[in-house]
Amino acid sequence: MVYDQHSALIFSFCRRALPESAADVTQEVFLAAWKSRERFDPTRAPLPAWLIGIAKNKIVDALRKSGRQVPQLDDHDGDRIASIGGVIADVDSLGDRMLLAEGLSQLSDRARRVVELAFYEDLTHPQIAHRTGLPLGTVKSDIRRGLGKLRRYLEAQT
Amino acid sequence: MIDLTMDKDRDFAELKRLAESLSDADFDRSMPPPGLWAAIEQTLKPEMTRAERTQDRKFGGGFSARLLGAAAVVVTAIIVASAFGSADDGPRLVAQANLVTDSLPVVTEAEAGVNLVQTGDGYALDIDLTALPLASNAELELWVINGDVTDMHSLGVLMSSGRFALPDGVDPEDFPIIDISVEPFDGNPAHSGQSTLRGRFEL
Repeated sequence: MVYDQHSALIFSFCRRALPESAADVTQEVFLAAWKSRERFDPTRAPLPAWLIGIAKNKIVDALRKSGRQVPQLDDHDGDRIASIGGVIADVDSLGDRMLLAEGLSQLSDRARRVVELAFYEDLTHPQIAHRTGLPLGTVKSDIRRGLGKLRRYLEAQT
Repeated sequence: MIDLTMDKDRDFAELKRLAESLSDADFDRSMPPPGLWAAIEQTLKPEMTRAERTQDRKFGGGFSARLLGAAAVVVTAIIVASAFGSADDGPRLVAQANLVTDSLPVVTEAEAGVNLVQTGDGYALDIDLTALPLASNAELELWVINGDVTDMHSLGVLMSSGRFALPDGVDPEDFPIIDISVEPFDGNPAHSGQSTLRGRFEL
């Protein structure tokens, strides 16, 4: 069930980071998740966040392995190391973006609309209440709970 | 401008910055190739078997009474007497049961059918699940339970339809009740008491 619910997220992440070996890395992620399932703590992070954290590590491992096949110590070695560092940062931020997208999709339609108005249109709470016709208290609690949920997706990975 | 009445301004600013960097591609999902789960399951098989050996647990008294009450109401089962006892290489169907959610602690819309099959190595359950929803902080576990609900064995974590071998020495006639429980990730290998589907083989 964990696989049924989250394999599309993990596979899509792997596919964007490593198009050639997305299926292999996805398999490694779920194997690793099963083996370390005792360490999963739902009070620290939701399951998709935990899986994305594992996937980031597996993707970086795979990138490092493929990097080793590059001839060592040539003139471009410094550049290569720097570029792997850059790739790792890219993987990290891609994973975060896909997690935030996942978190937004998990919000109720109303909460997502309210949060999006705050994110993308810079509206204040009263402006959002006016725009949506929702009571101010509802807007405030949707934002507070919605942001709380998104924050949980993005902190405490691995 | 960020609304200054908002709690945790900095968190909001960071989430907002990340949200502004989202592209449509970040929302796109594609399904992994169809055979991938089977490959994962194949690799995990030895470990799942090991895990189930360590997860066998007796019931505590309180739970046993509750379970017995529930077990009494459930149960739709069909016996398929197998007319072919001959040399057939494939698994032999021994019995069938439907798992239902009636009177169990965790109500679900899901349905499951189970075939008890005899393979070259012993007995196994073929589970066919549809639409089983699960909270992100728990997993499903498959159990067989004896007729008077005093003993049980875990067959492992249930992530999709598939085949689950009965541990050596576990006779399906002695453990005719099939139970699916919702198990929190709390490190406790015992049955949580949170059953969601159950059925019984008539043997």
